[in-house]
Amino acid sequence: MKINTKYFGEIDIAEDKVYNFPEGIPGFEKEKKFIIIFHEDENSPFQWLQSVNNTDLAFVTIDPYSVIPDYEVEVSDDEVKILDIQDIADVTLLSIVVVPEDFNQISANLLAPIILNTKNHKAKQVTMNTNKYKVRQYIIEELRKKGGQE
Amino acid sequence: MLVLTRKKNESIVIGDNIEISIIEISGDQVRLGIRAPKSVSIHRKEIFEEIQSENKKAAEGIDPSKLMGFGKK
Repeated sequence: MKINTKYFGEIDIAEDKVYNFPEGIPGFEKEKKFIIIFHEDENSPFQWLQSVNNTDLAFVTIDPYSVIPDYEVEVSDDEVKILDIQDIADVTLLSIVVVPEDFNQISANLLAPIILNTKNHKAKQVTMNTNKYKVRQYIIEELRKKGGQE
Repeated sequence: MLVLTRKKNESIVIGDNIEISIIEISGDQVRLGIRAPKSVSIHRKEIFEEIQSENKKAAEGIDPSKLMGFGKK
């Protein structure tokens, strides 16, 4: 299927690569289908989450483990059920990133990661009940350790 | 909005399977107990709103070239 993307023009992607967000994403409840576009630099910690039906809607995301190697997600039975997770190996996590004008203020939402079931392609942004992580966690220090622009 | 007055240890029932009880009242703080099906997600409103507004901010346009070069080490 062909999808018009916000940043990368029209791309062709297999239909089974589409992730279904039955509840949408908070703030964008009507958007139920997204694809993941990997960064052209394969070592990049960033991926793009592009809405299938809304070209203008795309998020930058990051693998939270690349920011906090011992990151822990607590998923309730409820979420496990909604996403129909059978095997923890099928789970991929993404944190939505905000890239403000001042790049030093780049932040990731580590309190509410997106949990993706790579097997059945169901996904959901889940809010954890913890004060260990923040909605706006600044990540520039961690990124600098990975190189990048000066 | 429906407004009800409740005392400590009293509760309200919403629909067939959601119950909200007043556990404790102390000054301007109220402790609530919530019994609901697991399919109902419950969050403090301000956290949910924070996530919504952070998502909206994240969806604003950015220059993809800003993200080049990380992970090259």
